[in-house]
Amino acid sequence: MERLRRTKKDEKAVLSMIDAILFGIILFIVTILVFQQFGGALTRERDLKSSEFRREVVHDIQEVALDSVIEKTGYVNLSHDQSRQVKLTNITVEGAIKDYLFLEHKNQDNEKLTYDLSGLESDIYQIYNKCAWDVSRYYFALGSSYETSELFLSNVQINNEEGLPPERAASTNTIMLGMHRVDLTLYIWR
Amino acid sequence: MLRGKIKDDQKGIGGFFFDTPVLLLIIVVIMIFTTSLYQVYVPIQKEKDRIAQDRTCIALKNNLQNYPQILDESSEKFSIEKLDSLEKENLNSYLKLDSDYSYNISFELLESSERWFFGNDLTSEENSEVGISSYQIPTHMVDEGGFSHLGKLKVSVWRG
Repeated sequence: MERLRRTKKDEKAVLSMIDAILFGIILFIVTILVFQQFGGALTRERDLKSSEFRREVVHDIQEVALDSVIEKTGYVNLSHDQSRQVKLTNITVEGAIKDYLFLEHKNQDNEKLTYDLSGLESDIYQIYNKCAWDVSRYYFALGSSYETSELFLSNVQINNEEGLPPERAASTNTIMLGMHRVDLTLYIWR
Repeated sequence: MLRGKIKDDQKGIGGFFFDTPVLLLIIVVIMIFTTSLYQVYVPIQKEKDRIAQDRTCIALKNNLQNYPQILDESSEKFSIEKLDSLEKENLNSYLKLDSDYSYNISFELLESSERWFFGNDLTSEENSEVGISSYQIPTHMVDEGGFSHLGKLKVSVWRG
């Protein structure tokens, strides 16, 4: 009789332990689920914060850069076996980009015309680098195209828009080149 | 009747202690669970506060870009002449920043490093205790002769 009672008591204790362990397992699973859920929320909050900031910054950088004035710049006209330096003074970056795209298109469209536009390209790059990197510490890429000409500048080793990182922010401005609308997109990232 | 009941209770006063391991296990599990929840909740709350602070910083910058007292009438760029004579009280009353936050704003010319500073100084204690939302962008600043210079605008906001 005494033995039977002890066995019953032992069984009850074991059942209680099993219940407690089950309770622990359930709470453990709930904890993992909570971590997953809240961890995802935290990542989303962080992404939202950085993307909001970047969206605002890229717009400001683009506005200021396009409106900046290049005091002295120019290009070399190498057409008809001659070398003629063309100087441009006090032109906005927007104007310089238009000149670059137009002349580059002529370069590619007409075999008789040859322009060395490296000086113009370099001065546009200098302004964007000053605004995006020197002031705001963002890597940048600037992309635009007109007819057959393309402009792509960056302060990292990227040759086209396919190489841009996914966490970039972008701002696109439309400028008029003759009768054509030209999109000018600035990308920034860290 | 009563006698029978007492006889049936095999545990007696000490019987409670048979459940002690189970109780301890449950207490430990609940403690781990609440600690885990706390560990998750605190960073999320901090991040939400930080986002609200960042938004305040952006709103402050936008207000500043539309403040006629520091803008050149014709170009709508920041006027150096107006920055020279700007009163801190006027700026505070225009910005109407939430009392939970403090701010400072600085303008700097890139060529000459000439600088204009408004708002509160950030002490090293505040710097270490609270996160700072800082927004730094290029800007144009127009001098008395109407010439535009490239400058830097920095807006910082923090709790305190």
